[in-house]
Amino acid sequence: MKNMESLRTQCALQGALSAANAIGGVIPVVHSTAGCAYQNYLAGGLANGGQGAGLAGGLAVPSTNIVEKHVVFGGSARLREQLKNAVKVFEGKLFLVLSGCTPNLVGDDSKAMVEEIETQGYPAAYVQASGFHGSAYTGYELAVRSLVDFASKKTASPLTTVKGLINIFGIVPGQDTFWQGELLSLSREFSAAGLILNPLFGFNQTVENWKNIPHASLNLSLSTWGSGIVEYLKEKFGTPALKRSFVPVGAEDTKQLLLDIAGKLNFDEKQINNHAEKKEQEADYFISQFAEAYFNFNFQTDFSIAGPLSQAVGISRFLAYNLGFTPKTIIITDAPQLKDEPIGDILPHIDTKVNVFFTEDGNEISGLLKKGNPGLILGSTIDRITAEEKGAAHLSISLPVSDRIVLNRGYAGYSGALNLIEDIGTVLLKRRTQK
Amino acid sequence: MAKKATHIAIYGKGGIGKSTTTSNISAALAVMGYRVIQVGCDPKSDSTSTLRNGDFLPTVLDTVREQSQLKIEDISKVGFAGVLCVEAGGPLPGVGCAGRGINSAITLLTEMKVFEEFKADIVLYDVLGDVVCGGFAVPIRNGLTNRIYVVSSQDFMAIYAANNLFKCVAKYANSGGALLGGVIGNNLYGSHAEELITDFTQKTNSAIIDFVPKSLVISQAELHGKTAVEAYPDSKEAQKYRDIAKKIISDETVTTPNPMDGLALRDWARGWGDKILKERTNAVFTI
Ligand SMILES: Nc1ncnc2c1ncn2[C@@H]1O[C@H](COP(=O)(O)OP(=O)(O)OP(=O)(O)O)[C@@H](O)[C@H]1O
Ligand SMILES: [Mg+2]
Repeated sequence: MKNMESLRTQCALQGALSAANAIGGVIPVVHSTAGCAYQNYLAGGLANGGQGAGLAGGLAVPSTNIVEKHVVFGGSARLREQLKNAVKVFEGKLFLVLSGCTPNLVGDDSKAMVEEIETQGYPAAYVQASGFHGSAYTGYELAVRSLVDFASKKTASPLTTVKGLINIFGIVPGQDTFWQGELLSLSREFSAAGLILNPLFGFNQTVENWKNIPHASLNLSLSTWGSGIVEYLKEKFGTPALKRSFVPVGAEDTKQLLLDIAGKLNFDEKQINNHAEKKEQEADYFISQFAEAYFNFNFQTDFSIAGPLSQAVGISRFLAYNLGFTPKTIIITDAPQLKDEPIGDILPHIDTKVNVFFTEDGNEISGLLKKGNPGLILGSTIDRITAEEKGAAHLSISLPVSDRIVLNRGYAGYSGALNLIEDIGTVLLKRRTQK
Repeated sequence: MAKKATHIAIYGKGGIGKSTTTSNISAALAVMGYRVIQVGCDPKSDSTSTLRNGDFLPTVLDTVREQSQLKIEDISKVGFAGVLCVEAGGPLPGVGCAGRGINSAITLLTEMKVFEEFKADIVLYDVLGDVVCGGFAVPIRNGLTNRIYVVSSQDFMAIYAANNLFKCVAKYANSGGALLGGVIGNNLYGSHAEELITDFTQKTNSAIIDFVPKSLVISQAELHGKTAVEAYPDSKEAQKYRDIAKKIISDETVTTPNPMDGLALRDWARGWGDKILKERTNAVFTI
C-alpha cells in the first residue's frame, strides 16, 4: 500500500459522525479516544466550509475519551457510563454509538452496551466505525445502514409505496462540502417536477424522515458511495434502485436524471419536460445576461479538477459542455477502486485528450495539477498553493475547504449551475485583476 | 551510578514449563547470592507462585486500576531466598488487550524505578505463551531485555512456537531488539528428545542451554507450592537448574536465529516423525 500525504478524505468514524450530526434528533455517542471526535470538529466542520456544530456536534459530541486503562481492561463499562450520562443531558430520538479504532481492536462489546440502554427504554443503535475500516465514505455507508435498520423497525405498517417518493443517497455530509446545498437544490427540482425527494440529511430532516424510507418507490444513488446502500434497500424492502455515478450540474444532466427516474417509475414525462423547459428558460436568461462579461473578460479557459468522482465529473461535464471550457486533468480522489472502469463513458464528445487519474496523494495531485498549466484549478484549499505558483485561478470545491464559507450553497441542478458560474467567474475575474 | 541489571525474557508455548523453569532459575540465582526480580508477564498471574508458597499477590495492573499512587510494596512480594516477585496481570479473558497490558505494566515498573531501587542484578520476565501479536513482542523489542531464552519440549507444537519466536527475534534483530541466548529443553521424555531439539537448534542457528527431563521431583515440588530448588535442593533437578542459572548469568553469547519457513519446518518435522516411528516399529519386531 502506498504512503499518502495530505489526505483529503477523513476516516470512517468521521463519516459516520458527520452523518449522525446531519440528522435532527440523532445524538452521536463516540466510543474512542478524545482526538477522534475533535478531528471531526476540525476536518468535517471548520475545514469543510465552516460547517459542523449542531446540537451534539462540534465540540459537544458525547465521547468516552478512552485512555490506556480502557485499552488494557476493555472500555465497555466506560461506554455504559457515557451512555447513561448522554441520555440525561440530551433528549435524543436516537443515540447512535460509533465505536472507533481502539475499542474494536481490543474487542469491546459496544453492541451489548447499546442493547442495555435500549432495554432501559432509550432509542439506540450502533455503528462499528473504526477508522481503519476505510474512509469517511465507508463510515457514511455503515451509518446509513444502521440508521435504516433502526428507523425501519419503527415504520408504520403496512409498507405502502408512495408514488414519486424517492430516497437519495451518495451525497456525503461532512465530506462533500456542498452536501446540504445539493440536497436542497435537488429537492426543489424534484418537487417542481412532481416528484418527492426524501433527502434524509440536513435542514428539517429527522429520524421521522428515515422512517419513510420503506415507503419510497425508488432509491437513488448519486455516487459510488450510495450504490451499496440502494442495493441493501432493494434486498430489504424490494425498492427499485437507480444508480448514477455523479451529481448533475446544469440543465442537461439534471433533465436526463429526471427522465431516467420517470422511466424507472413509469412516471409522466410531460411534467418533467414542462419543468425542464421552464428551468432552461430561466437559466438561458441568466446565462445570456452573463454572455457579455464572458466574452469581454475572455472567461473561456482550460481547467483541471481534483475531487471526489461524483463532484469532479458533474462539474467537469457542465464546464465542458455548457461553458465551453477545456478539461485538462481530472483527478478522482475518493474512488481508487474505479481505476479500471471505462472513463470515456463519463466524458464523451470532448476533443481534447482528458487525463483522468485516481489518487489521493497530495504530492502526486499537486504534480498532476501543475502539468499543462491550466487557467483554472478546482480542488481543495490545499491546491491553492499550486494554483498560485502557476498563476491559475483557484476555487475550493472539495475537502479541505478552509478559504470559504459554505452553508446552503450547492452546484447541483439548474440553480446550482448558476452558482458555479458565479463562483468560477469570480475567481477568474479576481485573477485577471491581480495580474 | 547504580549498576544496570541484566534483563532476561523467557518465552515458549503455553503450558510448556516457562513459569516452572523461570522460577527455578530465579531461586537458583538467589541462592547463589544474586538480587533477582521475576516479572510474570501473563494475565493468569501465576508465574511466581512457587516462589512465594502460592500466596496472594495483587497484580500491577489490578493495582493501577484501583489506585493512582503506587509503591513497590503494593505490587510485589519478596519470595524464596529474597527473589522479588511481580505479576503484571492483565484483563479478564476475552476483554481488553493483554498485549498492551504487559506493555503498560513494564513501563510502569520502569517509571517506578523498581529495578534500580531493589538494586537488582538480574530481572527475569516470564512471558505468556506464543507471541500472538505485537504487544507480546515488547520485551524483545526496543532493548528492554538483554537476551531471550526459549523453553521447548520435543513436541512439534512447542518447536513450532519456538520457531515463531525466532521469527520475531530475527525481525527486530537489526533495530536494537534482544537476541537469542538459546533454547532450554524441558519436560523431555523418550530417547529422541535431546537429539531432536539439538537438530532444531542447529538448523536455526540457535544454541542449546540445557535439557530438563520430565520429572516427578518437579511436579511434586509444585504441588507443595515450591520450586525444586527450594523443596529438593539436593535433587539432580535442582542441580540442573543451578547449572542453567550459572550459564544464563555468566554466558552472554547470543545469536540471531534463522527460523525455518513453514514448509521447511513441516518437512523437517515429518522427517523426524518417520525416523521415530521406524525405530519404534523395529523395536516391536525385535521383541
Ligand atoms: N520438567 C518438568 N517435569 C514435570 N513437570 C513439569 C516440568 N516442567 C513443567 N512441568 C509442569 O507442567 C505444568 C505447566 O508448567 P508451567 O506452568 O511452568 O508452564 P507455563 O509454560 O508457564 O504455562 P502457561 O503458558 O500456562 O503459563 C505445571 O504443572 C508444571 O509443574
Ligand atoms: Mg506460566
